[in-house]
Amino acid sequence: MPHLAPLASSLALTVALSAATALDRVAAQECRSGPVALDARATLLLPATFGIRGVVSGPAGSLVLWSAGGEVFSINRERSLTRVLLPDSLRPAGMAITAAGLRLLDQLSGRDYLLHTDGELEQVGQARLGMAEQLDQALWRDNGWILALRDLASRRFVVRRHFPGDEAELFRSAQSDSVKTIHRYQLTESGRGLLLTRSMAPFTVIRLDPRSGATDTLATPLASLDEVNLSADSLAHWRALPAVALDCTLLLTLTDLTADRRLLVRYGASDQVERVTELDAPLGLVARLPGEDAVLAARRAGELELVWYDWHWVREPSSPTP
Amino acid sequence: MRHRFLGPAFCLALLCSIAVRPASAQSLASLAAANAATTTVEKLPAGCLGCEQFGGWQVCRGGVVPGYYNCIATVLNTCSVSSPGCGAGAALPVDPDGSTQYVSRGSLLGVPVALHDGDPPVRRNCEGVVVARQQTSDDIVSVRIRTGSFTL
Repeated sequence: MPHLAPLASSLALTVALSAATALDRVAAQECRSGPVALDARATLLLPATFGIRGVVSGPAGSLVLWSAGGEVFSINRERSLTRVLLPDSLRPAGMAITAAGLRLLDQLSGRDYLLHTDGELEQVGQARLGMAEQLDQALWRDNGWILALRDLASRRFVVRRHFPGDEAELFRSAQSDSVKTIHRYQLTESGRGLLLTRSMAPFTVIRLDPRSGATDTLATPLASLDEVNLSADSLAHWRALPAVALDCTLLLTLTDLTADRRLLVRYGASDQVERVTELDAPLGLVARLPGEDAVLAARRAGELELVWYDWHWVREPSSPTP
Repeated sequence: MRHRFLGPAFCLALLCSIAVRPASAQSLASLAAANAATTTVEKLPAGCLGCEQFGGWQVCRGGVVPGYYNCIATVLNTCSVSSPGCGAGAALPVDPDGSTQYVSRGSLLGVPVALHDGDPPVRRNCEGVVVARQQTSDDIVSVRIRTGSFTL
């Protein structure tokens, strides 16, 4: 009965969708969200002229940050800063603090290195990059790298999984008109998958399943910006910083490059914008620190500095919207 | 809103006005006319530069583009990097505090500009992006107070 095949497929799809929806609902119910309060606990002034390209945190409260020029610093739990010596030719696209040492993926060559605790640098792998591919970012996850790159030939932004013995494309953006206008996204981790934050308007946030490549696009923050007097013709000067997940709450920093004006956008569990807070200060939220109720932020007060914020729910979390 | 170019930068603007090409000034003037209906920015003195495509390259050219902080050319085109109108678009390096601070990267591609009299000057590129800021001790204290604790 071949005519039953489409029906069976349809039923299977319906069952699968229902199951997925139910799973999402369960996940949402287990996942807290709501207004959050942040209180600065500690700061660390960074060396003058150091521009941060990326920051990663380790399980013991340690941090590693690196600049576009390849300077790398580690910060221990007591917040003392130590320079990590690497060959000048290395430009990390991503780093990770692992039990074996510091992993880093070189932006230009795609070489995967392990910096052992005794200082020895060992090449342990090689990410395959096409001739027309430009690596923007690498995110360490489950003993492998998630690569975010621009394919200059197809004029698309691409996210690819590069795990040992497992290479797969996860995401491919719409084609852009020119190489210059290829959409750019920044990758961050969340408990519900990877987050892709589009740097420029409309600042789309996409949740990406790193196994299947399934995507879920969150409500654009633009619809919620009327009350903060943000004109459409100024949007070209605004950028989004990578979204930060606090359980099911997502925090997105929008920054006005022509002023020290920030809009902090909070998403709820239903992936809708719940609040936009205006802040007149050069500050951006960087990451939630694992193992503690703290959020790391960067702030410019004379020089660039890191700020550790304690955070807590302002009231009992609201009931998540299924 | 009043734009005030400061000191040496203004002198440079005057010097550079000699090199302004009429054709490019005309094309930018057309752009200016097209934008005039939607912008209220005061027209800048001749010699200030905007960005224009020339032979496939984005370069600084003479003229006035309302709605933008205009560049002032140096010996090399300072307009060729960093702003959307000048080609780099999203390539602007943004630190995690949300600033494009070229001091962090060893080069200054902007001109000192103050929006209002009495404002401390900041260096901006040709589209108004702050590329270096001067924060007084009061500014620093103010930033720390405003960001000490907040609710989202």
